[in-house]
Amino acid sequence: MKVFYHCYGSSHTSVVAAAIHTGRLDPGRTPTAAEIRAVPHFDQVLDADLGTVFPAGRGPDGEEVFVVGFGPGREIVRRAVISFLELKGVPERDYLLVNALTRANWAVRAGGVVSRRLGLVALGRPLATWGIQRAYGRLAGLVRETRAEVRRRAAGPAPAPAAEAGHGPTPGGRGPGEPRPVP
Amino acid sequence: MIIIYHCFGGSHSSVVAAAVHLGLLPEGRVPSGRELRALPLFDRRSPRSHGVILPLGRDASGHEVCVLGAASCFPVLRRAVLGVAACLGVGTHDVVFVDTLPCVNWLMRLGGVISRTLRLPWLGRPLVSQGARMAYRRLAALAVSTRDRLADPARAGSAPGPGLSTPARGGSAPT
Repeated sequence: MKVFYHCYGSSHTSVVAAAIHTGRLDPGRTPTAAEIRAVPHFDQVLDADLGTVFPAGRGPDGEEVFVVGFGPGREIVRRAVISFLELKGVPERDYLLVNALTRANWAVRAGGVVSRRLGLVALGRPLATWGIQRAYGRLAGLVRETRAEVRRRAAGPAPAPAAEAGHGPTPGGRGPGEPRPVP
Repeated sequence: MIIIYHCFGGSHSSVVAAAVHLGLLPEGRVPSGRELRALPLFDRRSPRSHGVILPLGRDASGHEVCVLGAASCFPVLRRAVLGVAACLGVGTHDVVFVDTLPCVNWLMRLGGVISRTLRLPWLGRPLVSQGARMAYRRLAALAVSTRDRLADPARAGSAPGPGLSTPARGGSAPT
């Protein structure tokens, strides 16, 4: 099982979610700003690296965790990934695409734009870090749901009825059963 | 091998090129507007289908020929698709992306926007059909060169075309 947390730029929500998932950050305690900034790739990835998949470690059940930024066309990129894997015959139970951006708040978004897009790191990074602290409980919840889905899939052959296998289950934040790609 | 013709919406230039590749449209003459509009996917896909890689059929060499509307995010899309696939242990050396947008003219763009984005097919479809006819020779040349370049001599009975005998790993074909 592979878990791919994705957001806009693989710089903020996805990397923090992956850090929680892999045990680098404690889901029960909001980390300090220094702890957040020490997370690999936090507020580091450039626009030129959008779409690049970065490994983030392993989860408690041995699942591999990755982060990736889908950029402004995230639904388009997501549909492409899913349809390509279908073409290649990859079973949906083998992966999860989890949209971490749904747990972002205005501060994370604004800080990300200021730091990554405008290059004003001194201004944007503290704002994004503060935003992550404010959104931390929601990100921890996303990881909790994702881990539960990983365990569900490991336990039985059939995916949970409420979750669309492979499409980022409920952790995607869009409620149960995300729409399938429209041909 | 998977050959993915891609353009903005996956409705016009990529569909025409894929159809020529598969022999659904003629190589030696420009088809009528009616022939173009009779294609299953021509001017049919909505923006909600952007990103979906849709197989149209297999060519004589057994390659899967697909169309894709990548909107304006193809570079990111390509990296993400190949990156995620690689993480899952899926081979991508047999994937070729072919960009059909350089063959597109202004009439196709205008008609495509009117038909697909503004949802006025009665107005946009005749325009985009005429534009596709004007761009047809370039699209057909691209499809034929791609097909011949990637042809399996053992199955198709034809030698690969000159220039590029081996596709770049998961790369875009030059247009």
